[in-house]
Amino acid sequence: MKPGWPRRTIAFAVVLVTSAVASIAAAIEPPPTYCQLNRLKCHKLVGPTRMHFVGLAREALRAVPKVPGYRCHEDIVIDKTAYGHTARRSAPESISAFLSCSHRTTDRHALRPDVEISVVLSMRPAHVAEGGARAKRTARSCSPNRRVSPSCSGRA
Amino acid sequence: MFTKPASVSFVFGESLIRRSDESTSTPEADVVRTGPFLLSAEVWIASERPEALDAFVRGFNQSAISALMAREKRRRKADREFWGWQ
Repeated sequence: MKPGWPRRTIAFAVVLVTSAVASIAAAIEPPPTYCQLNRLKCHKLVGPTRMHFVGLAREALRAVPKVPGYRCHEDIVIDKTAYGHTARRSAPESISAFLSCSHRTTDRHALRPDVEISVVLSMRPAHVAEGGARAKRTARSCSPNRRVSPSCSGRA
Repeated sequence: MFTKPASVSFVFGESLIRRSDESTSTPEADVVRTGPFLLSAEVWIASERPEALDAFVRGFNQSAISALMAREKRRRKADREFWGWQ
């Protein structure tokens, strides 16, 4: 055996281990986000722009009836980031509003409300937001001008 | 005893543009592309008590959401600045 062979072997092993660790680390690391790649198109959703979308959510919530005997708690959730060419004209991907309604007679400490209502407004078309054929079918069979069909029930 | 909650969902929107590079599209890129206007809405009402669900579904004002969507569509069409970016 030549002198120095073990040292070369150790160095080779170190290189191999280092490259393996580096490739594993690269694989584990999440891909860059949209905002990391497109900084100019991401904006903080604040001020009048935010209030505009809050207003849209409130308007949509007004479509939900006030049913006698029920008391509802409202919660509006909007992303903190908006996307667009400028901050003034940016928009969040979606706006969610939730209503939890309990009947007057329901135990105050009940874990769940009697009725749950969610309203999701999106800047994306329905078939993109919900994905493929299912959303298309749902949009057709559950269109507002038709009577609610059994296929409209349930949520994925 | 567990009762499966019944639910009703209403989806509002219009069929729109399908982008050619859909596989590479992200939600964020879609919003930049479609602009700051509502394109779809979904209202979901659920309850374990059928009578409660029925009361809310019957009283739900579908035309209010349709009107909101129609107004957003008009705003989008009228927005010259938005179309300038397209």
